[in-house]
Amino acid sequence: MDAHQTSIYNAILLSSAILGIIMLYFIASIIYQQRRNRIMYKRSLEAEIKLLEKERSRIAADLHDDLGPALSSIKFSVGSLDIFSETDTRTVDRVYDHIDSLMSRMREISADMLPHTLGRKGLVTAIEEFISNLSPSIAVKILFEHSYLPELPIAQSVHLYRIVQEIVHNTLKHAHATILLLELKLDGEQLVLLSKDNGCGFDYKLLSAESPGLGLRNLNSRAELLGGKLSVESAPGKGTIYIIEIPLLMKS
Amino acid sequence: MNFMLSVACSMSIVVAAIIGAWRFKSINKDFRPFLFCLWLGLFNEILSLVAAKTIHNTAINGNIYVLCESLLLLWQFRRWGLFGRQRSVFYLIGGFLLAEWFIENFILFSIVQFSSWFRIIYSFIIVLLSVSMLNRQILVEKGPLLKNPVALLCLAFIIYYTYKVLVETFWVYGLNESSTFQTKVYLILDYFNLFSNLIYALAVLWMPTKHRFTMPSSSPAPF
Amino acid sequence: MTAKTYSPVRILFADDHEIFREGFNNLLFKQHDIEVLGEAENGEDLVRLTGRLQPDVVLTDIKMPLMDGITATKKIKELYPQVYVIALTMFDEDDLIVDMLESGARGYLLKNAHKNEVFEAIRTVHKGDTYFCKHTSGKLMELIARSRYHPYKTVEQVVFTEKEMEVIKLICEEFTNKEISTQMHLSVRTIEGYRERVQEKMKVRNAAGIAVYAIKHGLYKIPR
Repeated sequence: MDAHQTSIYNAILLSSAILGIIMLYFIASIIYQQRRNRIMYKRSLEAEIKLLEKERSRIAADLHDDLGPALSSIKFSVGSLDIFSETDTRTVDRVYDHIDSLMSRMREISADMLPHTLGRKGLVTAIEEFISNLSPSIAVKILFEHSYLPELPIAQSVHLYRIVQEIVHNTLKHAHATILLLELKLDGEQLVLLSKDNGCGFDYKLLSAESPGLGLRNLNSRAELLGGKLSVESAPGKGTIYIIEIPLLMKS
Repeated sequence: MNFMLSVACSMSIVVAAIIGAWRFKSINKDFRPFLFCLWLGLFNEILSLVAAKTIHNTAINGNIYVLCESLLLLWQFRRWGLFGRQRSVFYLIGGFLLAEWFIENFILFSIVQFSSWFRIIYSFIIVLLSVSMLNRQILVEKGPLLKNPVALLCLAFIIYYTYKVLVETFWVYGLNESSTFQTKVYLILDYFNLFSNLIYALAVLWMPTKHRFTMPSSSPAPF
Repeated sequence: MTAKTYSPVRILFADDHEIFREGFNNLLFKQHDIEVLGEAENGEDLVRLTGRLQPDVVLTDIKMPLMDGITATKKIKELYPQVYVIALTMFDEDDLIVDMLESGARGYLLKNAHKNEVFEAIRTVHKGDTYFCKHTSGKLMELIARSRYHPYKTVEQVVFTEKEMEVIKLICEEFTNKEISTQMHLSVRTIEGYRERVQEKMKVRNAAGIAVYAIKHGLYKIPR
């Protein structure tokens, strides 16, 4: 190589090095910013959900403490009336029935808001209760299988419970399925929640190209918050499979 | 000596190619164009070795290969959803590349010469596309960025193809007389080639399986 | 013919919601055999009024400010053991019901009980028997049976005949009288007869009472 070529070569070398440094810095900066973004995002998500849960438990408490006694009182007051005509008796009986169904509806809503069993008897029992409390007239047969699970911290339990609620409600509302299988098991260091239905499925790619429904986004948020991942496999006519894997956090 | 080094660097693509073949069945279909590109790359390397020994000209297979590479990568970006709903940009770029390739290889120059302009242009385009794709990943990826295969590949593309543009530009200015110069300059590129091939291997290793439909924007859009 | 004079059951009740007290009052004040002596809005007032007015039966809410129903029940049991306590409860308070029973309550009512059940509960407990709300869930029965609650004065060994045992088992499994009669190939009236005899022996008033007694005394084991 003559001197001219050497100097060109050196120029190339130098400009490559400078370019390299710029790129390296650029990449490092991107990664750093992205990490910060992740942390902030996770925090805001956490705060949002915490607020949501607080709201829910407040509603449950209000329903239980304020509305409940008022309804009972109405029932008693109505019961104290002297009824002389038969039509009136029938009316009163119907009023009783209405109040009873109101109270039982209130009980459902309250349990839906925040089930007591979750804190007292654990996730598995709470899920079993949730399933058995569903109206017996629903068309879907729900099977719940679980392996042995260690005791989970309450925050994790609530998230998982909500995820199960969401999946079941989604399936009941949209899937037109006849069987829904729920499986909760321990897989090494991970908790795996699997749900499989034989319903009509949906075009996942189509759905995620437009903005996905609130339900799906909710599922994803909760899975992310738990540090886990949500996988969906669905196609029209082929049913839907949800897989949620989250790392196990032992109760400290 | 330098030649062997150069060959070794290029052949490092075999690592990624093997991992890709082994995982092929389980990898999400949306990553297939890139896998095809890897195998084509490996094939071209072997072909170049043969061509170098026999007809002493690796330009023909090289030129054809870069056309395929550019189109495959363009297709890959489309599978990743970069072009969203408007197919027009995709066809525009593809058409432009094809046209330029033909003009350069058959009209302006000859196919037995390395089509440097084409290489510069398509590398430049790939860098721009990769930057866009990477930016999207940054906004959407909620986990560690470097574990995201799309982000990894885009990073590798940006690094490698930027250097390719640089080297090819210097090459175009007729400094192609002394073979020592040639090899020395190309050696720079070879190192980056090696580096990117290793990144490719990592990315292929971490490519998501069919099950993993991750959420909006980061999931590949429909065809 | 001696004129049967009876005195009405004198009761007190406590609840922290005024609207509930109002309704409850409306219900009771028309009953001839029940006399409402007064009302309290927390546990402290309740204990105080009990001391001053000496009622026969006390009905109390569980969750109240200042002093809750459980503490109040314990105090009343301590200071005025002749007074019987009935717990009033909303749904979803199973644990608290058990606590109330263990503290000395003789029975409980759900706040949305039918008015007739309220009267029945008061009269039953006044006699000295226990009363469990008709709408008791199986889970609650199990809880109660497993708890330390044991009001049964089992001085005499209560023995049940074979037929009675079978009826007990079927009642625990929540079959209606009609279903039991079909299963045992007896008439409904016979079943009713058995049932009444069982209830008398156990000193309970309804199916829930039978179930709790049965579980407690090992007459019936809940299948897992």
